[in-house]
Amino acid sequence: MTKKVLLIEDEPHIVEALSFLLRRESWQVEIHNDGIGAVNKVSELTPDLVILDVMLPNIGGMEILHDIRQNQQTAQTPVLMLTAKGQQKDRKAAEDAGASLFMTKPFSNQEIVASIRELVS
Amino acid sequence: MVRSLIGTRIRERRRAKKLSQTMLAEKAGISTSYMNLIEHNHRAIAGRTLLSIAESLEVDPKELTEGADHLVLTQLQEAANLISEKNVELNRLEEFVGRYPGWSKLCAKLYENIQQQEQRLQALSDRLGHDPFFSEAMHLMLSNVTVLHSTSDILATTDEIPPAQAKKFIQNMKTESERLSDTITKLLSYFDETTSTETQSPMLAPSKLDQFWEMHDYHLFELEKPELNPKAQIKKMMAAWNFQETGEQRLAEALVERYANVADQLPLDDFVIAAVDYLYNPILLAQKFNCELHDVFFRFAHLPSEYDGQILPQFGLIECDGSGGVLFRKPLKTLSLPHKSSACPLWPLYRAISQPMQPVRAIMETPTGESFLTVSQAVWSGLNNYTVPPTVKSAMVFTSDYQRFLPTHERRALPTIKVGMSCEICPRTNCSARRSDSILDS
Repeated sequence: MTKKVLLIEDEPHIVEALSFLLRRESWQVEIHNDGIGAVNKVSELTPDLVILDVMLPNIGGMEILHDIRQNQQTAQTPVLMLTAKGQQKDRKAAEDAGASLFMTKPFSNQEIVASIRELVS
Repeated sequence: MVRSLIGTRIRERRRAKKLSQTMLAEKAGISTSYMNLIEHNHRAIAGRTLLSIAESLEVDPKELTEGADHLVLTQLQEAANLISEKNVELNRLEEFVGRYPGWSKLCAKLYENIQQQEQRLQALSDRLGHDPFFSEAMHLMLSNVTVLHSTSDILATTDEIPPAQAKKFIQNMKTESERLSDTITKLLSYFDETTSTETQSPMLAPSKLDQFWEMHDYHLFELEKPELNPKAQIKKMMAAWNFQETGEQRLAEALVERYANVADQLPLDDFVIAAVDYLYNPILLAQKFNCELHDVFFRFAHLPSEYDGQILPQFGLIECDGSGGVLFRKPLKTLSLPHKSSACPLWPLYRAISQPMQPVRAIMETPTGESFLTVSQAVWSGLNNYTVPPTVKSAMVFTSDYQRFLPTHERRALPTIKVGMSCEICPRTNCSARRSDSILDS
């Protein structure tokens, strides 16, 4: 069965590259590019995985992650956090907020695809 | 501890004046044998004998007692502890200071300079970590590099890409390369400007008063216990720090006296217990201790980092007058504060000025994504005066540790204000409060 991945990211060229990589793996890709409405999108689409950028317009990725974990319907959804900040405290904050995995930009295509495979399997 | 030095100092100053022991003893009206015992630190002296010897040597009695060299001794002791040099004869430190006052002052001065340079380096390092422009530029560059890295990898490793998609990818790479180049150019120009104009700025070269607070971590434990005689402690602190400028000396004294008054009114033990009980709500704490809200703010900003094994939330504080001129500042590592004015006009600190006495509570979010719980209030000052109009003093206390005590439902009910540091380095281009262009603009 085709796996569904929701990509919440506001940088259009990153979205384009990641979408290409995910579709090449025959996954279904849904895109949302704003903090506002992100949690509703997760509830509505019930994806197998959410790829969530930390720095988003209007509402930050950490707050969205917190809301995803608070919502019974979405609490168990795997979330891969993407960020340009790779400091230990950011990693810790993401772990504490319930991130399944934390990856920093720039990421390796092979590594991110392998991680996603593992998370959706 | 230092009393034993007095004899040594007397001997050194006598020799400097080319007086024999007998001559000095005669001048001071004591026997030569007694003078000999004093100079070899076998007799403690004080009172009239000390005064007459000081007078005979034409020096201030303080120069012969511990006060004069106390700071030098402390600094040398700190230097020895810091460097952990085993061969330093710590047990002969007092003798060294007494016998070689010039050399010891020089060593202490060198140590002070090293400390200042370290603080400067720390300030630069903090700045790199929290500078909004630098942070924004790094974020942009990492995004650019991510696109370049990922897209070029796709192009290099995928055998069959539809031509339209391949063309689009190449176009994306071109755009991102241009953005990257642009960001790097701006970053270099920013550092050029800051190197030439800001290296001597107050932000990087803290005043002695800033150093005083930083050295004490904004907490003066000497003033927390009434039995330690706060007035005497204040006098001792001022003497040890030896503030050079009269204005700075007065300001330092006023602030430390204010600290002592607040510590007296809001005793640390009671205050910490109440603060935890009341979830650090300053209004409830002001009611409990029957004091002004500004006193609670001041107390928050001067709490120790740890109390009775419990890590306390860290609060910053900024106080300004009605024109925005900064009166007191305690920055946090995650939020620098201006020294004079020109902060972001959206800060609740300034909003409070428009509605004196009304407390304002809000979450303040910086461009780097840090968020702070802030409580601000402006109060009237100089009322009951027919001739001079009253003025306003505003204060804002803030903390990034609020998630430890602020219930989620209260947090969500608070407005979030997206602020910057100053317009020049603020990436929020569409801000209605902008008063000058940002150097981040494309």
